[in-house]
Amino acid sequence: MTESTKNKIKHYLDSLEFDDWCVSDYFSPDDYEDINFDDAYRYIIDYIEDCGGFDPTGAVVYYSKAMEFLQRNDPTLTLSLRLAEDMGYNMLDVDSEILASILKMNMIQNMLYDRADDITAFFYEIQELIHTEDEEEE
Amino acid sequence: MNEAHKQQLKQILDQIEFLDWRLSDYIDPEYYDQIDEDSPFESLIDFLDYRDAFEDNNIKKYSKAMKFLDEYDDSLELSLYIAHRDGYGVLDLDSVTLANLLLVDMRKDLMKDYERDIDNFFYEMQNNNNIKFKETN
Repeated sequence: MTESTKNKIKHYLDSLEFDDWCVSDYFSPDDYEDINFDDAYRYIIDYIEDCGGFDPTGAVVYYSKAMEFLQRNDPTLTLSLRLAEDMGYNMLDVDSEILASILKMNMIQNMLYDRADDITAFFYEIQELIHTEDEEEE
Repeated sequence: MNEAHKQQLKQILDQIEFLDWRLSDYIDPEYYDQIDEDSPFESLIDFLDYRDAFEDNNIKKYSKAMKFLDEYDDSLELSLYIAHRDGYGVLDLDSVTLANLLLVDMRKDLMKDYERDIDNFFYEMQNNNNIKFKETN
């Protein structure tokens, strides 16, 4: 894989972001060759999941910002409370920081899901590009 | 209870206010005589509870609820604790419910701060009445 292709992938992964969370934080350019280009979306999701990247602790929204985040994204609190319950939290175990972090991670996963077709298409193009590069090399 | 006593009690109750809620708005001085002099604080709570005084003028909008929670319980720990204590399930809750549970709890807590003042007022009033009664006899 050429440096130019790696840069394209890096640039693309940088665009898969939400707030301060970014897909590219979980991939080193050295890992790009391991990506399964035939099912890139699933590969990326599984890889991040294995790294614990979807754990709410990876998207911590601290107290000072938690209520602001909830106010902006879940003013009724019903979604974040339901997500917390689905994750096995007890009512007495949660606070605004945990609720905001759970909600943020859910929004990150939704963002990735919404871009699944786009991710697949991008890596299909990359696969084609690598194929062309290989042919040129030969 | 004479007019002077009623005036004194009203002054105490007027102090029990939180935001735009004032306890004395829910009990007319003409009802002061209905307060049980032996356990005035509990009697007053019962009177106000019966009239839903603590639940009155509650929060109805989500935006206002979140603002209230942000100001008085930004960790949400207290309001969630109250909800749990009162038997709510997670699926019964939203920000308006949490904010109102907290609001009512804060109003009742505020009233507890005046428990001694209220009990003392009735105790002194009873004592004074007893002294006057003895003096006239």
